[in-house]
Amino acid sequence: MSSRTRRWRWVAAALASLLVVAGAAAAAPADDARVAMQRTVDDVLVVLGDTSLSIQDKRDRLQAIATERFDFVTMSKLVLKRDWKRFDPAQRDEFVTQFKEHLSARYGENIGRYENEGVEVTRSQPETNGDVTVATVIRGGRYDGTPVNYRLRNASDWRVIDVVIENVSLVSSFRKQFADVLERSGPEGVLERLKKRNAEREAAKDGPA
Amino acid sequence: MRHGRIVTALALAALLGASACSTAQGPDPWRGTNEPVFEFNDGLDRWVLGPVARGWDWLMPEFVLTGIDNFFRNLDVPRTFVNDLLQGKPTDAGHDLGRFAVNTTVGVVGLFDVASRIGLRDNQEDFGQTLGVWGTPSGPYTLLPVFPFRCTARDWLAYPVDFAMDPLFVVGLAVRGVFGTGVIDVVNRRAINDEQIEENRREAIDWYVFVRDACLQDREGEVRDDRGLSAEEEEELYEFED
Repeated sequence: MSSRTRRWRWVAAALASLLVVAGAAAAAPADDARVAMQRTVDDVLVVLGDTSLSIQDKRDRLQAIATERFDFVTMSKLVLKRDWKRFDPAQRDEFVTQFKEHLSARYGENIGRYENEGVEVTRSQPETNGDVTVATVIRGGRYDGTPVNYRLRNASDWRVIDVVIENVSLVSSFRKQFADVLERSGPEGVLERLKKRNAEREAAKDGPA
Repeated sequence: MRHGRIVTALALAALLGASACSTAQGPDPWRGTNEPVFEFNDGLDRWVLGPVARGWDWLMPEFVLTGIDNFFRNLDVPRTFVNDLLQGKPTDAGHDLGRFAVNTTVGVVGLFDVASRIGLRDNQEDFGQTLGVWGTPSGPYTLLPVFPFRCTARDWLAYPVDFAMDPLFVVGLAVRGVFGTGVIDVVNRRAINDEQIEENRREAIDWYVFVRDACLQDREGEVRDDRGLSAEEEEELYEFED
């Protein structure tokens, strides 16, 4: 074997290892997002499995987890899309606050219903714009087999920007609902509707009807 | 519990059905007639189906609810199998045939979903999805009074074909009528999903739009299967300008 051939081999090996490194780097975001989501799922399961907690305690704790792991500002902008511009700065702040309250409470209520059930993280997939979709499936109980996909975006850390339950995207669902209200009664109408929903939930919490 | 189930339940809740057409008017050009039908169906759900389903849930132990649901979903498999083939998915067809064989025998006429436990998970296909895969647009959002099963023009047109593939129909319409099996299936599914439905009804920003969008999104997703959104859909949904 000539030294020339040997040198080319070495170059080829170096190139190959570079490709491997590049491949690993490319796979990393999906892995990071998956780890972040797995952590969220584990935290949720601890709350669900804690028999000492009342249903309301569970919901409150799940709500707290959602508050931390969801990126509500991004979600608000996605939901309002072009209409975000119609909200003045004060209205935007108010929208994010109320929407956050609404979503995190509903996340608590929804997940809180899954008694004796598990959540399995099945796969993670990078999206073309840099987001990552982490797929999970409910295991056991009435909702066994229900697919719940989380879309995560990395700003300072990986946080959820959409939840897709059985093909239905939460961002899309809210966008359609708000679009209708916006058309009829503008940003104030939207804020009013959100505040009303949140107030009703709080009232129901204090005294069960 | 099953693919498309929460959404099916939502549609059931309002006793309606779903899909999108990208005309200038949006997916709901017939809103003028759909809305009164929705009100009627929603009232029926609130005052009749919901209370009956909660009574049913109170009477029946959990394993009976699950068993009945398994039984009916197993009867959907012949329809799914034929549509797998029509959509050119022989692997899925084999998978679903295996499910049907296992659940009908070991699973005692479908009462137990043994197949899921050995990795053969539920899959639902119908003729509306097949038309979608073949390129038929979903057409306008279309609701019919009382019947909750479908929600787009395309899916309603396809519905008689699916109905003819129901083994209970093959056994005879009379039998189905006498035993009221369709009614049991609807009440049972409504019972299983009661909490979800009531919460959504209570919390929705706009209930009519919520149900419509859930049904349309679900049907689009079912036609798309594992293929992702198109580049335009991705951008529309997940990008914004500050």
